[in-house]
Amino acid sequence: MDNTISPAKKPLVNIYTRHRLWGLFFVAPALIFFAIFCFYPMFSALYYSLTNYNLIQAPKFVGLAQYAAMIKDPRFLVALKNTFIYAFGSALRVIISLALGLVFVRDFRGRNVLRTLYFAPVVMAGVVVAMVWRVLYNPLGPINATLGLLFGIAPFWLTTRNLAPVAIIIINIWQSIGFYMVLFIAGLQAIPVEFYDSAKVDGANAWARFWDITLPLLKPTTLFVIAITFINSFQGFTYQYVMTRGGPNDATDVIALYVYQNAFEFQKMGYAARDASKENVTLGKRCLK
Amino acid sequence: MSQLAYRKFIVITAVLALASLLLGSCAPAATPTVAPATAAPAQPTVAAAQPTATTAAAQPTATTASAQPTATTAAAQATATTAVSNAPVTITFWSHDYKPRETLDDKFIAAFEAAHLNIKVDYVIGPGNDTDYLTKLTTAYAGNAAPDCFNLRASSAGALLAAKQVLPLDPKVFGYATVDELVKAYVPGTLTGFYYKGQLFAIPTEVNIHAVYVNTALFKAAGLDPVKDAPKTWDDLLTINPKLLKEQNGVLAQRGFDFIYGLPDDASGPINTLAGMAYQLGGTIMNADQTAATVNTEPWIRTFQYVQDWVYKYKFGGPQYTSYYLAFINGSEAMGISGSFLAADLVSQKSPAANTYEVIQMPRWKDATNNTGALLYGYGLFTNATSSPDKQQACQMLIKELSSHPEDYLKDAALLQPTIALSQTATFKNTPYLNVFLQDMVGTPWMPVHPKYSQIIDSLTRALQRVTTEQEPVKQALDTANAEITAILQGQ
Repeated sequence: MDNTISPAKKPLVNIYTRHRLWGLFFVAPALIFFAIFCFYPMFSALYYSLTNYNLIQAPKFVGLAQYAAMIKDPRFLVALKNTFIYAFGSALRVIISLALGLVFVRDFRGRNVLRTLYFAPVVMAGVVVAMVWRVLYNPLGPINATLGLLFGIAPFWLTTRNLAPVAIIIINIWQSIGFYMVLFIAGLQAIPVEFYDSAKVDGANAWARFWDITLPLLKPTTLFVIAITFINSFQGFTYQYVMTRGGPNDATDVIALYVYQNAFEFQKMGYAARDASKENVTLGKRCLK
Repeated sequence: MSQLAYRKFIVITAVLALASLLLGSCAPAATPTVAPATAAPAQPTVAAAQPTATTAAAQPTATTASAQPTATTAAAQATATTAVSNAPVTITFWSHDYKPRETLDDKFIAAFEAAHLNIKVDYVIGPGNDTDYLTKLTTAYAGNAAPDCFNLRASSAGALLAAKQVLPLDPKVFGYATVDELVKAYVPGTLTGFYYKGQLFAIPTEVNIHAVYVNTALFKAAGLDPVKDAPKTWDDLLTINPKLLKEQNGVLAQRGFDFIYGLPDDASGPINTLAGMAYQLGGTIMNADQTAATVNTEPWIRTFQYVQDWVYKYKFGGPQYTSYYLAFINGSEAMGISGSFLAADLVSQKSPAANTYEVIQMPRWKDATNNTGALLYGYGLFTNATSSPDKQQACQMLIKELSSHPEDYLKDAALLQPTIALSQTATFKNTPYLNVFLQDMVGTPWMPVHPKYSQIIDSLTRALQRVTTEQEPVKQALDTANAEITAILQGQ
């Protein structure tokens, strides 16, 4: 009788490699999704930016000619400037939504109804919102009727160069504050109540509690909201396309609209891809900061 | 995450990114290929190869609807035919949104399918706005999903024509031996806009020109006679217009006449009218060989100055107000510029002006060199050159069917398909105001066909916006537009 114990069979892969493979298996769907819908379009845009592709004929390699044209293109620089104005103007919603968050984090009668009303615009389609506000901004519309009654003024919102960007920023803020309000409420609810109790015992007033407790502890949420605000604003397109098509006189022309116009209206896909690549770089730099 | 795992993650991500780059570089977007034409049509002798802003090559002899060439011309059709394939085929046909025409299209497509049991037509309605429609069409071409045949504005087809993505018409499908004979079935000059480099590419679904619709009820309410006081010159308009204005809180609640300013709601672009005004004074958009713009000449300066004064000096209207088209339909504008299709829209949208309007010619400059209105434009039925030969043939047969009912399209959709046979029908003679449109078509050039038409028109529209929203000096705005358009024409 053989009493020797045969050594255990060595597995094909060791346990660490197996864990790694399982990890890869679970993240693979997300990676594939990113590869197809993020990396591929990004690098395709980069490739087309080196060609003069016009959607109808095969792309022809032209090297950096599109980038050279971009530097000299005054409309691109105007669109870039307008995009920054739109993004920084829309950043006001961070303050407004924080204020709303501070109000709605407390419990009071009717809170849920009011919260829902503030959130309702978030779920509306951008095109619908733009079309409704275009009617509101009509020279004979309700906004001007009210302003006329109160102040005797009736501005031309969408056809005055300095007012048109403001008009669109107002819509952007109006539609999105509900969403950021909810984020701030979640952030505020995560702050332990004991901090406020201790501060009260120590004699801190409301402003001191807000400045020394709320704001610092809300920093991660605030940073997240600011980042999302800028990303969304840099991708602004719907309101400008539906309401003004970039006018009056390019006052509301933003990068996304400029890219769309070049790519699909002028069939300059290579030129537009160059703009899109530039915007990707700008957005990436913003996020990393 | 350990450093080793982090490094491996970066490596995997980089590999995926590199694979994407390789995919993107080595597999460029599907681009349409040119399928061989099924027939080489004869060269036309009637029209110029490329329409420019000069008079149409063949002047129509008719000045009124009734004075048309005799029926013998229309009847002299060749019996030439082309062999028809009986293989089952499904074709996709696109057209833009216009309800009155769609109803007729549905009816005739059903009849066509009943007569050709092997052919199935998939009818798709696209956006009504020309720019959006062209965007959708070119994107479809890029994705190898372009329709087999489509309705498209002639001046928008330049890029497709230059890239040989559209098939020349086969006259034999229409029962004619040559293109010349096919052309003779139409009022002279009305097919000019569908030519490119000497070949005919489309049959019109409509040929149009802008005239002025007058709301007679608003005229009478203002104490004006809609016939005697209707403006004949641009100076007349300055006199009549103040009587038609109504203000509310310092804003115009009712306008007399107003221009098209290129607003998102506009049914047409502004350049048809403005180019027409400039052409009355001898101005054109570009030179004859399309190598340089000519929009900073005196005719254009006068035209743009008139519009700028309209907005700022006289305060008769402007881009801040509701689009002229919607305003006329809802009864808040006494005069509106439009093609013949507005008549059908007034009825379908139950406008208060539906039964109280008349149509008059576009006003003229007192010292006009050319007695014309706005520039001619039209929509035509094109065939995709990248479709299979069977589908191309089926498409041209469908085009023949859809172009064989001009009386119905005129009666129910207010669209003019300018055949000589139509001109002899009672419907034609009894259609109110058709003679106004036809009179202005005589001697009027077409909007130019150019591969970069969209950019050219965009440049002029932006010049108009600078002039009417920021009061930029007209000469400066037009000099800028001229430089931009010249750069576009020279391929920069």
